[in-house]
Amino acid sequence: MSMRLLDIAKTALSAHRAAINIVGHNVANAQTPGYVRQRPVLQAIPGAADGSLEGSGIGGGVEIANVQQLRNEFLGMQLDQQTALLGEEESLLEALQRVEGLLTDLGGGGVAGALADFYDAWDDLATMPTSLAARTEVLQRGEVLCDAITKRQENLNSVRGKLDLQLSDKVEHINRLSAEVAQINEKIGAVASVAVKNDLMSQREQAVRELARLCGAEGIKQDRDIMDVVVGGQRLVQQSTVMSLEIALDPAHPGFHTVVFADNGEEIPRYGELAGMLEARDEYIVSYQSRMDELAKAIADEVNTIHQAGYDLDGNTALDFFSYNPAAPASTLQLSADVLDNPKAIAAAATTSAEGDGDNAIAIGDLRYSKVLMGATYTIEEYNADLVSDIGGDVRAVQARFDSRDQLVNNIQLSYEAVSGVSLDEEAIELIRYQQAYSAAARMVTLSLQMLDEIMQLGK
Amino acid sequence: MRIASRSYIDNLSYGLARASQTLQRLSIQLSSAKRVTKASDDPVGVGEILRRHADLAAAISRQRTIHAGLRTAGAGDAALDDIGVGLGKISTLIIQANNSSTPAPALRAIANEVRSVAGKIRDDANTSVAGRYLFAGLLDQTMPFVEGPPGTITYQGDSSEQNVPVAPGRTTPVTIAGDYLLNFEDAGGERAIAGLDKDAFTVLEETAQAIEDKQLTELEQLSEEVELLRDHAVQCRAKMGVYVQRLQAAENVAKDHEVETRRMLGESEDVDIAQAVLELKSVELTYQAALLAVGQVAQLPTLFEVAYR
Repeated sequence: MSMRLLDIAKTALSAHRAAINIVGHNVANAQTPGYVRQRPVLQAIPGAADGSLEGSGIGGGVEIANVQQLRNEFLGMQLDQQTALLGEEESLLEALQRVEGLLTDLGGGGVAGALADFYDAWDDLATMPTSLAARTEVLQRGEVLCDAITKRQENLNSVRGKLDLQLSDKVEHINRLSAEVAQINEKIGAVASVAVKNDLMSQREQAVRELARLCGAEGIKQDRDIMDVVVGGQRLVQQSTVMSLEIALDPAHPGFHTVVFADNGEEIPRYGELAGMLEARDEYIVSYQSRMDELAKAIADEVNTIHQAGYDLDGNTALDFFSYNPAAPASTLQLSADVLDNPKAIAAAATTSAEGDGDNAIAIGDLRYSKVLMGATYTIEEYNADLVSDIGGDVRAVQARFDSRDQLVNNIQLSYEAVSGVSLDEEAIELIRYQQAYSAAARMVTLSLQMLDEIMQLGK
Repeated sequence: MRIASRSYIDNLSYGLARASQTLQRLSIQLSSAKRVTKASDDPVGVGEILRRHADLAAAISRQRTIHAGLRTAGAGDAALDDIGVGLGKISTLIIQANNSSTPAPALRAIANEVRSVAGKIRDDANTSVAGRYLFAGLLDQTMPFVEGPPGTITYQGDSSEQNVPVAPGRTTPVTIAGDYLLNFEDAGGERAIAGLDKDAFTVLEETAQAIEDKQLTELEQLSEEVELLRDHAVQCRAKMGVYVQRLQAAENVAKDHEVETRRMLGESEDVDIAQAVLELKSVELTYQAALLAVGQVAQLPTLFEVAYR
């Protein structure tokens, strides 16, 4: 009888010590990202079924039947989906903010400042058409304007280039995480301990969430706690096999790359941060560059048209002021060879052999009032203001979407943590609970030893 | 709802990040005195601000060109005044000379003075400002009135006027062509003064010669011609006065435009300091409350500390 009690106490000591260990594990991981709290599932050990005196239908103590992870699968899925969208908006926002940072027009510089100074220089030349200083000033302001336009275009290209470079980092990161998920799948398949499996699943969940953010991946549970990872319906991880990604030249955007599956070269569906980066690179920035081309072409063509009709100090006419490559006006805008380093070649006069004639300079200065773009509804300066305003509008719109998504993700995260996160107070209560049970079991051991001792005394 | 320990910190960090973003925005606004420091602060406003900056630059540039025009016109006006005074003086000298009792030496002296005044008129007509001859038309790099064959002056300029822009698509002349002013033949062979088929310097030289030669009858005729020249010089000055008035009016318009544009720009661009300070104070309070909350949460004991003291 006493031996039986000793056995029962032993199971209690063992089960509650394990339970206390689980609480300790929870407390230790209270701030570990992605950790899902665990609970021991205690279960009474049933009595012997044969109805023997030893068993007599009385139970045999307690055991830990399972170590349960507390998670809400639906919230986890929602968190992954929203994290993917947040990743897309965050990377798009980051890229657009980089573009916005390039615009110095508000501080009086940039293309806006250069345009104003350029027109001013022509106005000044109009009042002193023979002045070499005024002519040199026109050339310098023209150069500054070309620099401002080409620099902005170059900077936009550079942002595109950096986004392109970042693709390979992202791909490397995705491949590393995919390999981690595959490795965990393999371990989970091989390990028998539930507790070990739980920790591995927590790690895998964290990796899949990171993949969701990077490329919109979703985890799909399979048998034996294995999880496959898919992106837009295509497998990225299948059990312990990884479908690696790599970058390849993007046929739609020469000189830039896209992300493809290494084995079949198929482009990965665009989600998550990758989607945001590619959207910024191939849509937003391309559209800004195209508008910069329009602007550069307009200023060059309009100035050249008037300039060609005028006369320089030597009576020459049909001279260009600007030149550009029609395939890429904003990147190639420069002073024409006709006027470069030759201030006398500026056609300030509207009539020949009249060096004091500044009427052509007046006409070019007056271009600031001419509506020559967007179907003759915008001046060149207005068009530039509109472009800057639109870039700001894009940043603001994406920022608003990001803020609202961030709030949503934060709320889902809170709800998710409410189920899966560790509460130290709650763990302390659990600790007290198991500690008390452990103490009681220890008392039972003492009591059964006392009982044994008394029986032994009877025999003396 | 059950709150996980990690959520306390995550929530506080989220709130602090938001409050510090607002703090940063307001402090940038206050330190720069600008409501909009980047395009996304107010995309529509930015378009408006850049347009206003362009308008402001145009208004300032316009004033500069008008001012340059006023300097030219002002110098022209002064030269025309001097030319008118010179012609008036010659009229007086003709009256002095037009007397049969005037002795020959005195007549020679008057004739010399006439020639001297004519030389002064020529100098006035060759006035230049900033390297541009005022009465040379558009050939302003060439001295307009130079010695020709002995006793004659030739005109080297053209018949155009120098213009300055005063408004979009509109210019105003700021000079008068020398051939028009001093009755030289223009490119079409026409002269400015009807009925006078000589240029001013020829009239003045003939006047000096007539005085010297005591040709009183001829002097009568020349006196009328000098009067015609004098009237014409007055008309030219009046014309220049009209140009100056136009320039001044355009300058006023440009100045008003600048003031109005600056006012509107200020409204769109400048931060409302009082409002920003109030907002900053309010955000500061929020931020301090968040910091306090972090501090309090950090000090909160857990049940572990109470139960296992």
